[in-house]
Amino acid sequence: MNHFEIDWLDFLQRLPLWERLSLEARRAFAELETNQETPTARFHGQESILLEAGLIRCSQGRKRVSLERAGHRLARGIHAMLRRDIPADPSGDDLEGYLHDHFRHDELLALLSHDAFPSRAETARAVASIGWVQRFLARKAESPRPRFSQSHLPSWLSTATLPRESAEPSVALPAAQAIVRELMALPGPLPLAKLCERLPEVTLSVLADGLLLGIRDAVLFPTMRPADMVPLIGLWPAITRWLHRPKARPPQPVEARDNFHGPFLMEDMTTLLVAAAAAPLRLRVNDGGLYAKSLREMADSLMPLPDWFHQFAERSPEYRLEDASRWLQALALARRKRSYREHPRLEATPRGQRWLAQSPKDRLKFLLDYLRDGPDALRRLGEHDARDLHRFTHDATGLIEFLPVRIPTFGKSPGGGPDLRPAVTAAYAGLPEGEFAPLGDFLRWHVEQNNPLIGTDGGETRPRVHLDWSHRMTNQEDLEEFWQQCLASFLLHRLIPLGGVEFGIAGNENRWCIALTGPGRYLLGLAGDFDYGHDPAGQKLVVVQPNFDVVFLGPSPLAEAAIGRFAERRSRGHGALFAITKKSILAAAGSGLTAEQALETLRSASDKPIPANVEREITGWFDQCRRITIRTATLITCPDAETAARVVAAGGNQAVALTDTVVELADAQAKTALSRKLREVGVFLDEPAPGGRPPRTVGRRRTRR
Amino acid sequence: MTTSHSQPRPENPLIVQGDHTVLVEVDSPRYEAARDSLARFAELIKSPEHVHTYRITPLSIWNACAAGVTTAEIIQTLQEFSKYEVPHHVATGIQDYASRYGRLRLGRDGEGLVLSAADPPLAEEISRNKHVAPLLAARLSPTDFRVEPMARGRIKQALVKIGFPAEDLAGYREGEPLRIGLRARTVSGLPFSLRHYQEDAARIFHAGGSERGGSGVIVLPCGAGKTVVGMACMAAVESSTLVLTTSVTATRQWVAELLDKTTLQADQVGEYNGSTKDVRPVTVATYNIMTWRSREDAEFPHLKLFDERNWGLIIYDEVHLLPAPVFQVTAGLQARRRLGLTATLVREDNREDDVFALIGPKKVDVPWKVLEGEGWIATATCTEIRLPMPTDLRMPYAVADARQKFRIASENPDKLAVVREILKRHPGEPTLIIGMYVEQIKQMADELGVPVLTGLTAQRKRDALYEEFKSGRVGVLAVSKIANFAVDLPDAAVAIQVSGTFGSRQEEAQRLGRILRPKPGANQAHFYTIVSRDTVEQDFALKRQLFLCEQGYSYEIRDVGNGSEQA
Repeated sequence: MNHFEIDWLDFLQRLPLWERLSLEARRAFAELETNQETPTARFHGQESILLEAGLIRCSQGRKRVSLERAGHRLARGIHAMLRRDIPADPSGDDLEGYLHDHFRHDELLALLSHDAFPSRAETARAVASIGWVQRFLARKAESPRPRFSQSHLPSWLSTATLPRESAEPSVALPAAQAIVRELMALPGPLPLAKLCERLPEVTLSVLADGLLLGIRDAVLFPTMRPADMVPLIGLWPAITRWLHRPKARPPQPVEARDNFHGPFLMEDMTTLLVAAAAAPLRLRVNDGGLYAKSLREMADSLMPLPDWFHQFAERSPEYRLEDASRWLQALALARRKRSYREHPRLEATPRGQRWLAQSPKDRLKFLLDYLRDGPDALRRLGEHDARDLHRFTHDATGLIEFLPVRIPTFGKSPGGGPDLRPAVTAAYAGLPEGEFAPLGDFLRWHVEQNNPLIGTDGGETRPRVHLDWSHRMTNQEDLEEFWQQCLASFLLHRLIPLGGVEFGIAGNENRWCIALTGPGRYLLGLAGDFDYGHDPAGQKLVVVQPNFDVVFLGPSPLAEAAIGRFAERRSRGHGALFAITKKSILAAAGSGLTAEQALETLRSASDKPIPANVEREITGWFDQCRRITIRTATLITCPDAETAARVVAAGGNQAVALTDTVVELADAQAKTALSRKLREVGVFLDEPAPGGRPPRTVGRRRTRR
Repeated sequence: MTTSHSQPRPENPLIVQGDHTVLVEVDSPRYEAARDSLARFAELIKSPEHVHTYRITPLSIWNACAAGVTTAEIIQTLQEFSKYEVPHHVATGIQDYASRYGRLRLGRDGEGLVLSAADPPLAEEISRNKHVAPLLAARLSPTDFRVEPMARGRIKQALVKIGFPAEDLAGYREGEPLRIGLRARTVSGLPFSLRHYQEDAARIFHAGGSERGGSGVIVLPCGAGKTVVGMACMAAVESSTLVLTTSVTATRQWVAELLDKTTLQADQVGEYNGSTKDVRPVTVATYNIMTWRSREDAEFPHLKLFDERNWGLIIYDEVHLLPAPVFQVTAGLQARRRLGLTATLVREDNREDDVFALIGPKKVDVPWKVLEGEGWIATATCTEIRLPMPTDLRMPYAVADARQKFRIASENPDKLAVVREILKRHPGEPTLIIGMYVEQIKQMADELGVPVLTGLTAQRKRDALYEEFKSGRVGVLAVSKIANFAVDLPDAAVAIQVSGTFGSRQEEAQRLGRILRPKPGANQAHFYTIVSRDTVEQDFALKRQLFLCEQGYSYEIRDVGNGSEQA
């Protein structure tokens, strides 16, 4: 039984009778099936009302009742409305189920006439949008929607008991639109009986036609409220909710009771690159990811995030390091290197080494510049040719851009449509200066009031872009959702990880809130420079002890990350402890850090002087570091000094005598030419024994006994 | 860049961490109050200049419980002095540890020892434990067990290991009575009285002679007069006493101190060591002789000393060095009063629980900063002087193996000039030149014209040298590593370490201890270490540097040679 099989005029006419029935009697009637009897007692004495109306008949001396022919139509209507309860907050599945229950395939096809083969999910998504209702209201009677095409169906299948088409569209459509308008003004569904009262100028038969048209076009949804068995008519609840949502208001400043900021992405990249610079990190063959052991080893060095932040966005050490790896590779600060039959490895590039040697502020600035200016930012790293970066980013991990999302446009290359960067910039630039704004209010305000994807045309909203999420029509909710995603992604993947905002919790209800910082303003192009590492409270919470312990008397993730570059973490949380060791200093020196940078980091974090012995040892350990290069050379072993002199003479400037009898040939490729020259002067080359040792000329073969 | 959920209290000195470590900020205005409270239930792990580290362990909590500190007091202290909220699981852990103490009591009825459990389930649990069950003689009731007197120590050990320490209220056997008093003026003619903390320590240990006292450990820093505390305890107990020390020299020092500061006569005090086996009402022996045996599988013949007299008190000097066989014997001596003396409860072999079970809980722990502040121990400054290797030794050093490298660097002949310079800076101050290599020390002593004391020096000559040094007739003394343990050189104000044992922390503590006794005037001691720059000796010196800094001493590094400043 479906809604198209209901004789709506009959149903509306019977409603006064239905309202006279008690709840028990309604339930008893609703459970009556054709050709079945039920005890009269279930009607609690109200069977007489139904008997008078000729809807039921009695048998067995009024002990049992069954449906009369006239009652069949009402019963069918009740059954259809009871078939699926439409909850107050329905899901997409609920709507798909409804469509499945009440619509035939050809009727669904006709709903989305522009689409050849819409799925039920796509149809449901289209039907549940405000645009669907708006288009219905905009329809003119003289241009009715296409009729159901049943030509491809066998006749026996397309024939229904009742006509599935409404009467004259020119009459039914205005009635249906009037019903829809009436319902749009209400926060929920309306009892059908009340509908008649609210539209007194519409006759019952026209109202019935309008109902059928609205139901057929999936803008009206009849249902039976189970609690009191009252028939209701309403818009799809999601649309009603959207229409009656509270109006967005500009975000008002709030007081954050807990906050956090710090460019942890930059520090994670530093941690990873430091490790890769010390010794290339083995990567998994199958997906190029970091091995769990490497992740574990580096996890301790990551800048700590407050526990509550993970309620907003879970950021496990694995996720953070994989993200850092992606950025490093995309910016060509590290690269995957794989030789034949060897594990791929992540190694620091020369560019990465130079980046590591910069101050934390410059390292962050490079990332911000890259997002602002693209590969042109490389010039600041002394790179004059960015072509290899383009090749690299495209080959390896894809380009990293200012916005982490692109508009998925239909039939065009991704990124079509309006440029969202100015809109995102304008949205975040509007944050109140130096104050926290509630994130929810901020997003809602911009989604509803400043959506660059939605334009207006003659007072009506019009999508400015067609999203390629499916073949269906893009509706307003889609564009609002996508715009919110753009703003949220920019916050989550750019501003927060790069220290562009302070992120906090406000109020007792734990509302997320944000405040723009110096790096954030710089990223958005609102400032020409920024302060790095400025502690808002002006507190220096680090104590450097003479025993090389670095103790954090309070949380300071920025300082923890900076100090973690050259000290070993021993504990975290309140009282986080680092130990400066010779090993950690040498590792830091290997990654390009200098003694002055390390000491400056300590000085800037601590309000007590660095103990003299610590300063002395740090300087001494850095001074012990030397850089050497390894190159391959060919050694020529001569039997005596005179031969060695002849070899040097033949080799010219390529041959250098290392000892009296050993000559180094710097260019291995010159070996052939040299051997030819030597042959000419009577010096012949023996092939070296395996392992590179000179051939054994004297000795006996060892035999196994 | 974050602020905490709960409001932090920056003026407070404590940070309680989830691993039961407590950091204490020394610069906090509430530091001293926090330290005094914390010391009752947490062990000091390290005390560098700004932030000290304590650790709360089951043993430290049980020590506190034994001293009458309640769980509520412990948690209240942490909450009162903590900058941040005390982690919930730490508070829960403390409650759990504390709840275990006293649930088992070792008492005495008319027939012998009785172990009583607080409730039947606990009694059932221990009766089924494979380590405890064999030590229970019979079950007297659902909660009481008979324990053989000889098992008293071992059952306490076993119960500590399963986390249910027994409170020993079984009392002590009264030893041979012996009248001992402390002199008001020493035999050498100097006025003598107990310092207030020494008096307190002896009083707390003795506890009026009740079973709640009489066994335990007193922790005092080097130079604070642990020997005097031992003598005060002897005077309180007034019974025959066996004193166990770490070396013959220390034995003689104990004897000398006893005769000098107590009313004991020479015939009442005996030495028991490799050369002398004289058992008297007060006998001072070494751990070495007690654990000596002819073969690896033979018995320890000298352990019988524990039973040769009816000792009323046994004193374990430097209890953190107590060897395993002595532990075993001590397990059978639980009916005698026992006193442990040490500067630290931390043992290299992690047998702190055995000290707790067999010697007793910590009774007193006085921070050295307190004593330094009151002038009872000297203020020490540590200076490391680095000098380059001579050119002619660089190649031999470069090609030597690791052990040889250390020796070559340690015996750097240029160290002599630095020693001379230091001696010039401290004219008239009693100075020790300490080294690991005898030849180096001898050569240096010859060059400087100072007497030398090594392991080969006859005991008589040693004692004479000590005496001359004490009297001031000898101002500088060169000593080998024999000076590491318990040699009391009361007037040494400067120590110059020219070579050490591969960065041994124990050795460093002992060597520093030589100069910590209070000095007239500025009460300032100087500890110099001379190392060869950019060598393995410098690497080992780093370990010693860390140790000294963790003890809270100021540490300075100076470079000499190659155009650098002079020492």
